[in-house]
Amino acid sequence: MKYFTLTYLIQAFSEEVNILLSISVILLLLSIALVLFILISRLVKSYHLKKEEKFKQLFREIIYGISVQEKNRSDQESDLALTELNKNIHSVFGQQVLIDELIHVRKNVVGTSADNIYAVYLNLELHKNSLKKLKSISWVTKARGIRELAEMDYSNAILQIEQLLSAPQQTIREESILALIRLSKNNSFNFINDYKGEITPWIEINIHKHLLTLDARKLPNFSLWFNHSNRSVRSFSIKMTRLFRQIESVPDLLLLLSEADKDIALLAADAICDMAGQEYATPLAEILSNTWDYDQISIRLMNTMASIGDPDIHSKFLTPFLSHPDYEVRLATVRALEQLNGTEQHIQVLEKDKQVAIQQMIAHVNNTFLN
Amino acid sequence: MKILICDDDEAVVSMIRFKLTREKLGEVSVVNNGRDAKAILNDMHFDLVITDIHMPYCSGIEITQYIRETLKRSTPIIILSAEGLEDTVLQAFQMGATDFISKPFSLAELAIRVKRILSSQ
Amino acid sequence: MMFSFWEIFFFTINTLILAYGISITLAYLILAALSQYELRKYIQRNHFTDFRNILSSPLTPGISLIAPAYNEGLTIIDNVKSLMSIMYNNYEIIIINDGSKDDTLNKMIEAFNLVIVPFDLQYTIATKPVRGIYKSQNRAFKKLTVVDKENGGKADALNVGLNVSKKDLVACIDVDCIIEPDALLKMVKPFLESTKPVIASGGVVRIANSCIVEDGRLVEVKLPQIQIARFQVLEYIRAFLLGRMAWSKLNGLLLISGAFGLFKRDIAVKCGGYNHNTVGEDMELVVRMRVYMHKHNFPYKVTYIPDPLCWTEAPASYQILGRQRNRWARGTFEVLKLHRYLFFNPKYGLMGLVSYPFWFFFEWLAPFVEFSGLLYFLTLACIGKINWIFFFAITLAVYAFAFFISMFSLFSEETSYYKYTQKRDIIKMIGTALIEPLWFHPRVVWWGLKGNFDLIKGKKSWGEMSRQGFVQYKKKNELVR
Repeated sequence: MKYFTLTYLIQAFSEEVNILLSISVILLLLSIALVLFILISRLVKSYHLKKEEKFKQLFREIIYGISVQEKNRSDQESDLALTELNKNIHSVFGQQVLIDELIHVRKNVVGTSADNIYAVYLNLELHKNSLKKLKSISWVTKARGIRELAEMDYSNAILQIEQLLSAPQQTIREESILALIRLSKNNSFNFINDYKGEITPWIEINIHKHLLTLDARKLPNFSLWFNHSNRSVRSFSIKMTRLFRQIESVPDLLLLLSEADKDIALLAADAICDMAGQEYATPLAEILSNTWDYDQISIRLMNTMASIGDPDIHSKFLTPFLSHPDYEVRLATVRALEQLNGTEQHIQVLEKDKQVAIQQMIAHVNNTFLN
Repeated sequence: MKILICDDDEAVVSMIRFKLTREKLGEVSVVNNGRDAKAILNDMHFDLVITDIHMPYCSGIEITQYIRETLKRSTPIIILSAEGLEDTVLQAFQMGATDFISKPFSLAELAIRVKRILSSQ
Repeated sequence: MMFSFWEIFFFTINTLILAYGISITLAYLILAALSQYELRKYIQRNHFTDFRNILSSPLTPGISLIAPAYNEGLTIIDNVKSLMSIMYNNYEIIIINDGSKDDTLNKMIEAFNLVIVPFDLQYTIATKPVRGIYKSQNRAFKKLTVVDKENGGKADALNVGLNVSKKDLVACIDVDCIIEPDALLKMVKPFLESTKPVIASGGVVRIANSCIVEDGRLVEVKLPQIQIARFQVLEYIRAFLLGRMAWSKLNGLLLISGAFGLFKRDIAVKCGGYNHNTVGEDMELVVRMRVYMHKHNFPYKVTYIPDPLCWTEAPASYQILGRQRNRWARGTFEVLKLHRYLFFNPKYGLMGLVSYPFWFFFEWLAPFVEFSGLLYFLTLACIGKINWIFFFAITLAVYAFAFFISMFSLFSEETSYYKYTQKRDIIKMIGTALIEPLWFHPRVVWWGLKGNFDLIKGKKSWGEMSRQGFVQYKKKNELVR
């Protein structure tokens, strides 16, 4: 019998073999553990889903009922609904499901319904739950707390959130900026004056999305930050000037065109292209020749001239660009001249092959399906 | 009056259904995706369709096109969308949508629009 | 003490093979751990992302979807329709008909009411001549541009797309792939949130066999019913979830699958576009773009998105699969050879010091090592030099490791995207993982070897000739100077 005992076997093998065998056993055990984990996680997942679904069904009917109530209705109905909700949120899990549902509903509605939802959030003291999350060690929980407070417009949290603006974790920083802009109603952009971080396009998109919901007259004049020391604040403010058509900033934008930082100049050109009126046609035409070396800026200004230029006065500023080395600039020039009073008359002086090339561009820009 | 609501967002459809039923504007049916919407439109007649733009399988624009061009019906259609882009709005109207409401929306306003559209029929 | 020549010989070979085995094992373990960490972070971050905010914003970059089509007449209309329902605000679709011999073009002209337009095309990248560019007369199909050109292969067709596009970003895709509606929203996000300029972003490719597809849209994900496709499911999950995520974290990603990738157009064009002399054009472009950025000392990043965004029909027979793997092996060899100057070249940073050597040793060389190892083993077995107990122990260890890595990838999938939801699926995948090392892997090794030999053989007989058929065609765009 002793030939079959484990100790005998182990002694019989060399050390290397034993090492290999133990590696194999460990790996196989680990694999089995992973498989077990997968199976168990499926059970847990479906249990949680079921529980969540149960809560959701329960909450939804009540929340929808509350959300469609009109102003000044007798409070009896909503009191009843609140008591019903209150009964089911003793567990953290239930609370979270309810918060998520409230946020979800509130995202889709404005007006009385949104106010009703906010009232539920406050009355059930769910803001305490969200505020507690800000103190969590896990960045995911922290960010989630910020998001919840922002979605619910709970502006009492501004001070706490401001402290997270310089957090090491990127998501927390992003969430804090967005939350602050949402929450501070009167002068939303105070914090930007000494903001040191980066405003990525992703944050810009989210801020813009939120600003769209506000009254455009209440927005700050973004040209205030055109010369901010933080480059990303500069580009952010130029973009917002353009998107909210703050036409009074066009003279400032004209100055930015000669900026040494060509990315900033390009953004300014973009904004000018969208906003400049006819009174700016002559100054712009004169600037045009200085932009020869910067293809993208030339193209933007060319597009601007197309809509605001006067054929008799400005064509002569445009025509030299028909011989620009960059194709896209030439195409923009042709497009602009076609808008004004036609290109043909300006190309007689050019060589024959250049004329042919430009005629092809004329056909291109005048085709209805290509525009 | 029969009203069809198509949106993949459970919350949105339920709230609208709640509101419209409460205001007694009509009998409300609900679908959650474009495929089911087409199927139910084939079988039943509706006095009003309220549809989201982005849904699984088939967009609200496609549904509008389907009602106007394939089924050749003049059912009023309200498009509901989170993207208020000029292009999308124009496309919706070109395809024959009756009205466009951008999300987030006010339930009270929606109810009034529905009431007006239904009474003008 | 004196050793005989043979003793020293065996000792050297054994040690080399052992060292290779240990380093490849460690490399895979490190990559798997890194990937898992990165995947977790990605998913937690995206928990906070409302991708619909990208959808309606005027601040997003424009994207051109470029899809070459060759003899796709049967499915092209469905494919284009499914591309048109992608959720993104500022995008266009450029279908390149690469000289199809069937009715691909005519079907599109009819279905989308296309007319030829006087598009003033610039041959910035030299390609085969374009016969015509079409746009739809129906405003509903405004996003669509169809280009008809002479046949020149996939790389050439993609280059035409790069010439036609005027958007900031180009997404190069296989037209027969099923792209998820939110794919562009997810792929574009790295370009928006990174503080370092992103030049390319890759997506995951998943296997669509047995999945339910309606009107070119994926309705339900199912595990493939045939075993050969299940092997590939496992392979793809392993490669994408456990490999590329780590490379993306290290910023050392060399391959963005040709089925779905998003690139900065100006940089792709400045590098000269796709190289049509290699079958590994997708990997070659990424390497060349990276080299370009290094040479100009521009900071950059190549990222990768783990969400399953692109679904493709996997080869369902060993014959077709063999051909595909043969091509992949040739592609890898060609790219590595073309850019051999990268090998441990510190000038190219991590790409030269880690990524390239990894590909060289563990992707390209692996089939050779495995095959010659097998021959070596057989020789030793014949002359009776094998310690059988040791042999079985080490085989068991290697097998256990392979199984462990497969299970780890399943675990990774389970905790991230959880696409295969049926209980039976998990049993089937475990079975697949158990037989894969014995049944599927040897074939992969063989196809890889064969690809390399075909390439070496082919080089002498027809390699140069095929290139002569390619007419350099460049419109005189130096006209104005």
